Amino acid sequence: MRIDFTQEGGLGYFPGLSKPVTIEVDRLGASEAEELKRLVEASHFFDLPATIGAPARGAADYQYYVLTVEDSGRRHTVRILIPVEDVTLQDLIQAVQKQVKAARAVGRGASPDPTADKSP
Amino acid sequence: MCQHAYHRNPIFCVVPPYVIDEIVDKGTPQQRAAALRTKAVDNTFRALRLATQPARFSPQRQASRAPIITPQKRRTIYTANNTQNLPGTLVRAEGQSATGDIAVDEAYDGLGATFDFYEQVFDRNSIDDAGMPLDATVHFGQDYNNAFWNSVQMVFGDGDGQIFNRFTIALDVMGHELTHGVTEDESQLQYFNQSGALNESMSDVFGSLIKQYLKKQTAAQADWLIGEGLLASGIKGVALRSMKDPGSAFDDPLLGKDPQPKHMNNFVHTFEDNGGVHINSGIPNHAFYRVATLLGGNAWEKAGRIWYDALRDARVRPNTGFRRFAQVTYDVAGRLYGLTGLERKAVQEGWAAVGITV
Repeated sequence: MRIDFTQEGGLGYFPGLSKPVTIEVDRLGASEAEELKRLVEASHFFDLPATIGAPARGAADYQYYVLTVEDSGRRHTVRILIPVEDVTLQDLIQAVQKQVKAARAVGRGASPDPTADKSP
Repeated sequence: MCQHAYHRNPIFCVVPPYVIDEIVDKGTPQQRAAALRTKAVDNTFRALRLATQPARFSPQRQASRAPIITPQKRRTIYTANNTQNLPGTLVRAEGQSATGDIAVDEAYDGLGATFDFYEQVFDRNSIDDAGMPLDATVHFGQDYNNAFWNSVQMVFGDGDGQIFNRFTIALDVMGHELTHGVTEDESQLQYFNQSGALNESMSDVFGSLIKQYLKKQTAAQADWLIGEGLLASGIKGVALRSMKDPGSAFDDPLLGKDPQPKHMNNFVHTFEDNGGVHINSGIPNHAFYRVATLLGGNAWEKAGRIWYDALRDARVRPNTGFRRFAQVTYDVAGRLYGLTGLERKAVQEGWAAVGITV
């Protein structure tokens, strides 16, 4: 399973934060991989609509999470407006963001994750 | 007082807000709790009503609003307790003293400073010029790196401490968010492409003026930075944006480089960021900075007045872009200060500096 995460919108535009981060779920620690897979399942991710939530007229600086999950030949992208109302989706996003944060820290030169993909 | 037997609480009737405020202030603990609940319910229903209204700011509605005699702040601060539920739990109502929670107290003060600026400088009674209550939720989400305006209230994250500090730390950010409400009330500038960048620029201009007004700074003394203090230590940058020098606010391995242009020659055509609304806002931002520094003195007095009256001009419509807005500011300057005045010339020069001829 592979998860791509990015964010759209917000109070400012930061090129570095707009690039998607890829998480190779099968290369994570066993418990983390299992948790992510469980949350993808529990949120019925592949049945979700392409966009969840719409900003009210006059809203500004709002953000969307953009999640793409690829698993066993299926691939689906969902854009979710913040605030995220569904609790399972909230949990999934949180678990994904934890990995995104770790991946970005590696990018900045922090100690590399031994389970991370080291191929160029 | 209401006498209906089926109400559990005698306050849930047509009781004016200032009476409820008095009860919050002076009532017994039980009466205070009931009054605070009433205020929260009122806000929820108002938000629901607003969400289902298609044309909130139509001329007919504005004409039918009863006039409010004395502008009065009505601030309510909520905490989302690190969830994404809005508005969350009420923690500070208008007139209540500081809570000790820095985000709550900064939001309360920031909303107050914004209200005071619009009232004292432009004689504007809150965001909609009709006494709209000012609501904010703090501690939204977990390590949430953003603040936004959801059309009826402000929402602030705490930041993750690594990229961003708490979002209530910057007064201009709070002014920026509330000004989105003003822009929507006056012009409904559509939030994408050039009209969206103009919308964003309005928020930066007035957000910056709110900060300058509070600090009693002249145009020369101001830093013209948006969100100074918001970037965490360790991030190579000084602010979210610079009006003085768009493109110079940050250059960091994680954030990337500040992408803002300061001239039409470098206008960014993109599908990201709603067509670059936070990117191309650098152009009108810089024009305002130029006009304000050319005129000197306090930026809110002349440059701010010109921009404010231009925002309210009937020619500024939802799809208005930079060129039309520039033309309106030029005409407004002539109307306010005379056709041969320095002000009109400064406006012309300010726009010329970013590649727009009026």
